[in-house]
Amino acid sequence: MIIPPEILNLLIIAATAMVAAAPVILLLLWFRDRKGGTLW
Amino acid sequence: MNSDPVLSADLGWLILALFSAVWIWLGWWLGRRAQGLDGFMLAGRKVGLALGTATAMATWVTSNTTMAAPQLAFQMGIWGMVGYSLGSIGLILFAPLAKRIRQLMPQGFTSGDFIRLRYGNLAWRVFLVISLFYAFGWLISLGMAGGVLINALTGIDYHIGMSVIVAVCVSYTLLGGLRAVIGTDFLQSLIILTGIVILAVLAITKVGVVTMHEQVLMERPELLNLLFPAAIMFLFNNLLFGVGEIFHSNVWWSRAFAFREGVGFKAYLIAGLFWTPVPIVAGFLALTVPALNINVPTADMVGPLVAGELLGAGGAVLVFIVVFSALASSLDSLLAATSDLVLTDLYKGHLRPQAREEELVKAARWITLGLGVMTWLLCWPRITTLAELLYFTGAFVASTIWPVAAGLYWRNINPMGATLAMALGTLVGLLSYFMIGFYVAALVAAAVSMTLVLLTTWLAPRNFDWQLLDPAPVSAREAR
Repeated sequence: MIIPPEILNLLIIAATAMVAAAPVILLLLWFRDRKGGTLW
Repeated sequence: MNSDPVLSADLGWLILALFSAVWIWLGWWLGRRAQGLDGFMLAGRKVGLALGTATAMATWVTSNTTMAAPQLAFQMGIWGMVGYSLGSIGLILFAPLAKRIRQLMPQGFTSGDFIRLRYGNLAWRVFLVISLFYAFGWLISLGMAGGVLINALTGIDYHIGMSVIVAVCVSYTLLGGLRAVIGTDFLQSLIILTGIVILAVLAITKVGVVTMHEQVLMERPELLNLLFPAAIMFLFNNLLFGVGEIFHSNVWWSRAFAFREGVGFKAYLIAGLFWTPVPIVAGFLALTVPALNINVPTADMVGPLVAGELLGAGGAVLVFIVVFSALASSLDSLLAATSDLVLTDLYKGHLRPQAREEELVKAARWITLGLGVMTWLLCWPRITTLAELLYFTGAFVASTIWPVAAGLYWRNINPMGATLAMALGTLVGLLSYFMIGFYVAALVAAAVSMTLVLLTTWLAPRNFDWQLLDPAPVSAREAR
């Protein structure tokens, strides 16, 4: 049972988008924590 | 690894020197405000969501994730990388446990504390043997991985590369304790995630998923097969191993104690979600090998070779920085957490019960240094069978899943049953490792452990008072 190219494409694009979003979300959380005095 | 290095030794030294200086300076800078034992060991118990999420994610992204994910995709195809990504289940399942741990033990220090207060001294000692054995196995594997990877990527001698990575991590952990570890983890996680995305985008735009699929289908169709039996077996073993590693290890417990109230659940959940796609993104690079027509002499070098082909020397530099960050983010966490376990459960718990805080703060630094030296000495001979040692620990860690998880929620657990579950689960798991194979060790250990916990609790239930997990006086509890 071979994975179709469309599903492989979807898997890779979705995974890459999630990894790309992670540092942005981390930085946003960092700014929010810093502003709110809850970083440490 | 016998392939030629993808970077020159001079460039390797430059990157090593630059990042070593940054991590050590940052460790000192972040740790300069750490006050007392809580400050050094648990970053003052006030770590927020951003730093908490980053440290949980970066610690779980080791050199294995960045280097072994492409290797597994190269050997086991789709299920290799998807199976690896299920390692995140351990982080996600630990989220409610982290919340519960913080509620039950607001002043706790280590996972050993919990086992001692919940099940008594015998269970505590059995747990310490398991936990320290695993911690040393992981410490040595990370130190060795540092030497091997630096040697493979730059040609720098194994002993020198290994010594540098161990010395750098020991230095900044020593200077700043958990504050330094968590602060550097934040930067390291940004570097790791950004580096992986750059490589993935290059692979998608330069090769294309459809071309990649066509070429793999022609040359190695089994990699695209969704019913690849060896890979499906790997998936379950990896899942269980990951859950056992996270549930018992003080690396994750110390963070549950260090996070601000209300942060633990969210931090572990988000970290698990962030981590899930990382092995897929790092892993699919290996599927571009047929399309790029790369000659891969050893499977473990597939990641750097693809990066070098896509981005030239710049790609290899990027992989080196990502791998160095991934190694440091795990090695420092493990050093700090193992040092906490040795300090609290061995030094204070067994040798110096009356030790005051000033003495413990000093001892914490000496223990971190001592662990670093021991790791360095054990890494020096470059034991080639260390991968087998790590598989070996699967039986140990999986036997703790039930005593830890059930012990946090179920007041009727029989303490002797929990002790036997850890001891016999490990023993039978090890027997199955030798008699059947590495892939069943964790499964058998968890099954035996679960059976013993359930059976002994059914036969002789106890009624545990949860307040015993928070030994502070009632007045102090009410004041909190």
